[in-house]
Parts: sequence; C-alpha cells; structure tokens
Amino acid sequence: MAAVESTTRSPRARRPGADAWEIFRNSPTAMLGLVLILLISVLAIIGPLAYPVDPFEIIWAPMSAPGTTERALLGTDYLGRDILAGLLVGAKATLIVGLTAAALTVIIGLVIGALAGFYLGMIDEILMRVTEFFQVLPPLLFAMVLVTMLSPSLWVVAVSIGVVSWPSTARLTRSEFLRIRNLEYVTASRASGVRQGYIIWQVILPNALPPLIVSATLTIGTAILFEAGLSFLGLSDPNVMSWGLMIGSGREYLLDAWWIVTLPGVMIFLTVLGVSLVGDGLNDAFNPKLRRR
Amino acid sequence: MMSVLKVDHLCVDYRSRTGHIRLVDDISFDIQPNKTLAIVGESGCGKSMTALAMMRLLPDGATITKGVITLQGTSLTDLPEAQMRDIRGASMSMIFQEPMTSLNPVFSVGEQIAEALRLHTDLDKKHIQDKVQTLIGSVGISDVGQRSSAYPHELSGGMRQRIMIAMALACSPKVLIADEPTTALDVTVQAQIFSLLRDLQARTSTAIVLITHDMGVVAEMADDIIVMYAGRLAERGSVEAVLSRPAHPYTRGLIDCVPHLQLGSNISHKPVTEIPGVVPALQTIGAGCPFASRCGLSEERCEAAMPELSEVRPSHQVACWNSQEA
Amino acid sequence: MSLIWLIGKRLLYAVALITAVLVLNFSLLHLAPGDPADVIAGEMGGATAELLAEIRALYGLDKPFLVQLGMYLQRAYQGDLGMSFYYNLPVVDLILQRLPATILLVFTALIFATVGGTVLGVLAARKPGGFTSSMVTLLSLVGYAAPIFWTGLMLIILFGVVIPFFPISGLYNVAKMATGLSWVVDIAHHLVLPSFTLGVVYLALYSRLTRASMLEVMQTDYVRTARAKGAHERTVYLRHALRNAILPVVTMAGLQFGSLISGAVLVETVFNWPGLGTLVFESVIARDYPTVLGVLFFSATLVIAANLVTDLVYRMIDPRIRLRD
Repeated sequence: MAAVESTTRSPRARRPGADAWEIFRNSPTAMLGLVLILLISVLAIIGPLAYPVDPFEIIWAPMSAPGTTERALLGTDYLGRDILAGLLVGAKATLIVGLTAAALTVIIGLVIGALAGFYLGMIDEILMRVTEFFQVLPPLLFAMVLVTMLSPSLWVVAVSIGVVSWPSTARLTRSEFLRIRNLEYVTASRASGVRQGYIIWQVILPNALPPLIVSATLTIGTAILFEAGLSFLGLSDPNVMSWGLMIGSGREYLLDAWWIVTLPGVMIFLTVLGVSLVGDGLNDAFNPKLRRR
Repeated sequence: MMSVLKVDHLCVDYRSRTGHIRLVDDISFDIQPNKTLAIVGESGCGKSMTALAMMRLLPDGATITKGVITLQGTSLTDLPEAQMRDIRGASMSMIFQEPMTSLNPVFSVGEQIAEALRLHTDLDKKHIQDKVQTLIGSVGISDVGQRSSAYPHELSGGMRQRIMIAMALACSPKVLIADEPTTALDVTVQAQIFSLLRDLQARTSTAIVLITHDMGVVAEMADDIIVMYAGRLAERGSVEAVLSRPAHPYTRGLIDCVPHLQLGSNISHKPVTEIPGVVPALQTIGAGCPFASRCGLSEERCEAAMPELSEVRPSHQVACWNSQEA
Repeated sequence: MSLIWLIGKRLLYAVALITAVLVLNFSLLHLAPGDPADVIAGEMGGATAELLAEIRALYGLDKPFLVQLGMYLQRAYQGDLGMSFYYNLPVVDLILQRLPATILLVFTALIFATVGGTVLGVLAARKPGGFTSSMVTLLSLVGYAAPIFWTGLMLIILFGVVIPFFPISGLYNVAKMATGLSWVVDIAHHLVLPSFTLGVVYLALYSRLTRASMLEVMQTDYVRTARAKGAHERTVYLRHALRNAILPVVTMAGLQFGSLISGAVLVETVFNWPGLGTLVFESVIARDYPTVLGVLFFSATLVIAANLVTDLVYRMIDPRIRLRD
C-alpha cells in the first residue's frame, strides 16, 4: 500500500451551494422573491433609460389621478411631477443606498464578530462592549443625528445606516464563530499547525456562511426600509428622487391624492418582500431539516 | 397466574409519503405481576415502538394497525383518549432513555412529581407535599428537602433518572415500562439504578418491562425475555431458559457479543464474536425471515417464508425454521 | 443575596453605559460643523458677539476638551442637558413634557405585539398548515416588508376616508375639552391606530417566533414525559410547552426596544402624536442640536433600562440562568 501523502492543506469547508440551490429552486415563494428582485432591478437600471422623464420636472396639472392622462400614466403629485418617473428613478436610489448600506453593515459586523469570536479574551470583551454601546442607541435616531450633522447626500445616508446597523451582524458572526471553533475539523486544523488567518478566513468562515448569507440578505431589506424612513423624514438628499421622499412630501395631500403616497409604498413593499422571500428561501435551503410552514 | 398486561399480535405501521412501513410485526407477550420482562434487540428493531404502543404514545404517523393490548382485563387499544390519560402515569407509567432532557427545565423536580399526584389522586396540597418527599427519599436521594425544590439542571443524570422513577411510581402503577433507562448514564450509576428498581419492585410488586440492548443487564434484572429483530419476534421465554440454551441464531449472536472479562493468564479468553452484516432496512424485508441474510444457518426455506413461533420447551418459544428439529 | 449583587452589578454597568452615551453626545456636539457656540445658539438668526461670548463663558467653551466634558457630565448628572434655543426651554423639561405620550404609545404597542403575537403563535402551532398558521406567515411577510410609516398612512386613508372609525391625528381632541374619564377614553381612542401601526411589525415577528418555538418545544422529551404522566393535551400545550417556548420571545422583545423607539419616531410623525418622536423630528429640521442629542441620550437610557428589566425578567422565568452571569 502506498504511503499516505502528507499534505499541508488542512480540511476546507464544503460548498453548500449545490444542494441548497436545488431546494431553493423548488420553493415557489423563494422563486417569487427572486423574480420580484430581478424585475425591480431591471426597472431600476433600464427604467429611466426607457422612460427618460425627469421626476422633478412639472409635466402636467398637479394631483391628477393615475389613468386620467396619458402624459402621466400613474398620475402626478402635488406639484404636477410624473409619479411613474419618480418610481423609476427612485428605484435606483433606493437600491443603491440599500445595497451600499447593507454591504457596509455586513463588512463591519463580519470583521468585528469574527475577531471577537476567534480571539476571545480581552479582544472579545472590548469588542462586545463596543457592540453593546452601539446597540443601545436607537438606530434611526442615531442615523438622524449623523445625517443632520453632515450634509445629507446619498453616501452619507448609506454610511450612516451602515454605522448604526452592524451590531446584530457582529453578534451573529461571533456566535457562529464560537460554535464552529470548537468543532472537530477546526481543532484538527489547529493541530496541524495552520496559520491563524487561514483558519479564520478559510476554515471557519466558509462554514459560518449559510446563516451569514441569510442575515446579509435580510440586512438589505432592513437597509432599504431604513433609507425609506430617512428620506420620508426629509433627511436624505433632496435632489435625488427616492420612494421615501415621494411618500414624505406627498403626505399632506394624502386624503385627496392617495396615489402619491400609496404607489411608492407599494414599490418599497414589493422590493423588501422580494428580499425577505429570498432570505427565507435561502434559510430553508441551508437548513432543510428545520423547515416550518 | 393471571397476567397483568397482555399484548396479542401487535402490529404498528408507519405511514410516510412513500408508503407504509411495518415497524412492529405480530408481537405477542404477556407480563406477570411482580416480574420483569426484558425486551431485547438492536436499535431500530421496534422495541421502543412496542413500548410506546402500549402507552398509546406513538409519534405522529405511527399507528397500531392490528392486535390487542390488555391491561388487567381492560383493552387499551380502542380505549377513548380521556380514559387512556387516566391510565397513563397511574396504572401504567414509563421512563425514558434520556434523563438529561426528559424533565421540564422550568419546573422544580418536586413540582413535577407533584403534578403526577395531582393528576391522578384527590390528595390535598399538604399530603401531596409529604408524598413527594417520601417518594424522593424512596429512590435513594438524600437531603430530600433541598432536592425537591431543585431544578433538573442542578441534578446529575443519575439523580434525574431517580426523579423520573419517583415520578413514574408516584401513583403505584401496576406496570412500569423502562425504555433503556441507563443507556445514557455511567456504568456505576447504571448498577445503582437497577438495584433501585429491584428494591422498588420488591416493595411495590410492580411489573417491569425493561427495554434494553444489553444482555448483561437482562441476565441480572429480568425474569422473562423477548428478543426482537426487525420488528418481529425472534424468541421468547424465561430468562433462564433462553439465556442458557438460546434457540434462535440471533439470540445466540447477541449473547456471544457480550465480552467476558477474565483475569489470570492461563484462562483462555472467550473471543468476542460479531454478527456479520447490518440490520436490513425495514422496507426491504421480504416474506422470509428477516435475519436470513446474516444467519449462518439460513437455507432456502428461511428466505421463502417467515417461521412461525414454535415451542422449544415449556415457557420457551422461538421463530426459526432451524430449531424445528429437536 | 447573590441576586442583589447581580442587580447591583447590572446597575453599575448601566450607569457606565449611560456615561458613555453622554460622552458620545458631547463629542457629537463638538464635532458638529461650525463653532459650537453657533451651534448652541442655533437658528437665532445672527447671534450677537455678546451672546456668543455669554454662551462661551456659560459652557466654558474656551476651556480644554476634557474639562468641558467633565462639566457637561456633571451638569448631566444633575439633570441639566442644556438649553433648547429653538423652544426656549431647558432640554430636560422639553423631554419630560413629551415623554409620557411616547411611553404610552410604545408600551401599548409592545403589549399588543407580545400578547397578540404569543396568542397567534400558539394557535398557529396547534395546526401547522392550518388557517391561522398561514395567516401568521402572511402577516409576518407583509408586516416586515411594508414600511412602518406607510402602513400608518394607509391606515389613515382607511380610517380617515373609508371607515371614519378612529381618529387619525393627535393625542386627544383639544376642541372637545374633555376632562376626567372621558379624556382618558378620548386618548385611548386616539391611541388605537398609532399603537396598532407600531405594534403590527413586532406582532408579525413574535407570532412567527412563538409558532416556531412551540413547534420545536412540542418535539422535546419533556413534553413526551408530560404526556406519559397522563396530562391533558391542553395542559401539556399551555403549561409545559408554552412556558418554555416564550423564553426566546422575551429575549427578542427585550432586544428590540431600540428598534421600537425608532419606529415610534416614524409613527408619531405620521399621526402627529405629541411625543419624543415629533420632538426630535422638529428639532432636527431646526438644527436644534441640544434637543436632538438630549432625545438621543434619553432614549438610549430607556433602552438601557429596558435591557436591564428584560434581563431580570428572563432570569425570573428561566431557572437555568437565575444567578449565573
């Protein structure tokens, strides 16, 4: 029998991708979510090109209901601006801010959680205290403060959301690391003398991915809602049309021109719904035995 | 002697999306008062299902499809649920394999024992308290006052199992079913628990159904034994008869599996033999004897048809074609 | 004895956290673009040199950072969070004025969400795949995906135009000038829509969590033991199972207090509810930083208090971690 070859590579994690996709594909709600997201992304990218109307331009009589004029298929707002144009341009703003904020949240949370969960001891203590501190501040309030103090541009909004939302991701990452670091294959890696960085990024992290991916997906939904809230309150960039802004500015005319507020809200709803359905689908795909209906 | 619990031709099926699986196939036995019956077999042979069927606590999807279970003359199989509840915990009780998870973590152990008394007796609060203390003392736990207000997580596995026994015997049941009560415990604790069960039986004349896969335990504890394989009855009889002259090849295999520790260099050690192969998946068992594929003595007729129970000696039956001769 | 020590430790920690928030507040105040004196003077429209000098002396703005921080902390512990120049009132007074309305709103919503969520979850777990369970799933998706302020606005349309059943604005009807019991009833009437809007998001969450928790608990060994004792299915369900199943709900409810307050800001704005939310909104527009930061501090304190209470409540109901740290 040939001698066993020694290898300097320690056990790597199996990709959960293939089996998970199978389950995901077979879930009608998950696929619905995916379709919604794709549709809205397409609208965001292609919409303004296919329908190049400036949402800030006054094109018709104010407060025209949807379907009353072919100049503005979904009606006009209190100033006479095109609602449809607003929805299309708003899609882009919402998605960009939402994705950026979510990315920031995940990156910060991941790094902090991973470091705390891996190194433990003093590092863990300090990082957890910091996390707790951030968690104590109500997110929206804190973001409002930040946005007000700096100029309200899209990037400031995205960064502010990221800065206030990372604690829960950090906690999740940390608990996953705590769980995984004691499993056998990690102990085996360490016993074979592998570099610590390798262990964190190549052994533990890939196995922590499933719940983190689910969490990241849901974070996108939360970030979108957060952005909508800030622009509803008028704290986002006033030169960029977003769905929250449409709702906020149309609020006074709510009872007379319901569509100004309702339609953008429906868009937010559909987007976040799509994201959460996908998140749920991923959750089921990664944990088939825990499926509940 | 009039048997206290009788199981006649019991069949339990499990319905899954793909079809029916027979988990327990035509099992019959009876239990005498004040005696211990051991149900023996490997994991998955249906012994736990038989026990759960007796208590009518089968999991979702599993049902009793044939057979009759009689407790002191009352048929349990088609008893209305309300009356079955009166029997559970009172005339017949059960303790399970995992003492670590079988007690509710948010109630004190004293409270959980008291609940059994509250459900089945009319005793007032004070009497229940006293009875609880007595019960805890009777299962060999000292420092009763402290212990009764303790929570399960504060007790060791052995102590939790004692509490389970106290809870099960609270209402003086006629039958106590013990489903592998010591498998999850250390060997020393195991001995204590069995010694406790023996004492309690002597004092209360309860019949015990002991489910186990360990022949050593059977030899120590049981009066009668039934051996199950893949849901079917392989052999049945008094422990003396079956263990001294096992008639079924599977039973023989199980006995040979028990390692014998012997000291002294000039005594030849009896080698531990294994039964080759694995238990077949229940769905794949055909019409013949389920043990045929692993049996050293199997012939054509073994594959063809399931052998009937035949008597080897008085109070010793076996289901095997090969033991028909003699 | 050890319980008291535990509470003491938690309180000390809470105080430390509060101090940390104050430090943050102070830092933000000084990080705000522009001269802090200008910031504090706010939109006074051309603060005079004398006023600015007064402010500087009063707040010790010419002194080193740490000294100023110390003075700020000292004042804060005495209950002085500065002066709002927009409202011309001490910040603390402003906050205390508006606090009761917010507390009322938040607590009503919380109770609605936890009690309602538990009930729905328990009912849904009884029949997996049944009507209630499907409703819970639907509700949890809709409740989460719809922005809270939009839900509020939709309810306003519904109850303002379609079914004028509930008042859609304010705390009570000022014109009515009601007193005593009828005043309380009027407030309650106005409370319905805002607290429902705020609560429904969490109702969705908790019902889903309770359902999952119940389903999991019903599979445990100790539930099987309870059945083996001959307990009635209802007892098994409500006494043995629920008691264990609500533990994660309590934890989660406690963790979400911060998010609850954030939601309250939006809901109050939508319904013109005169609480901290509308206060902070107005102050943000007016760049009245002392007030804004005062509200931030106060709500952080509320969150800290809520966390403390949740921790203690949890310890009371889960004997496994009663005195552990």
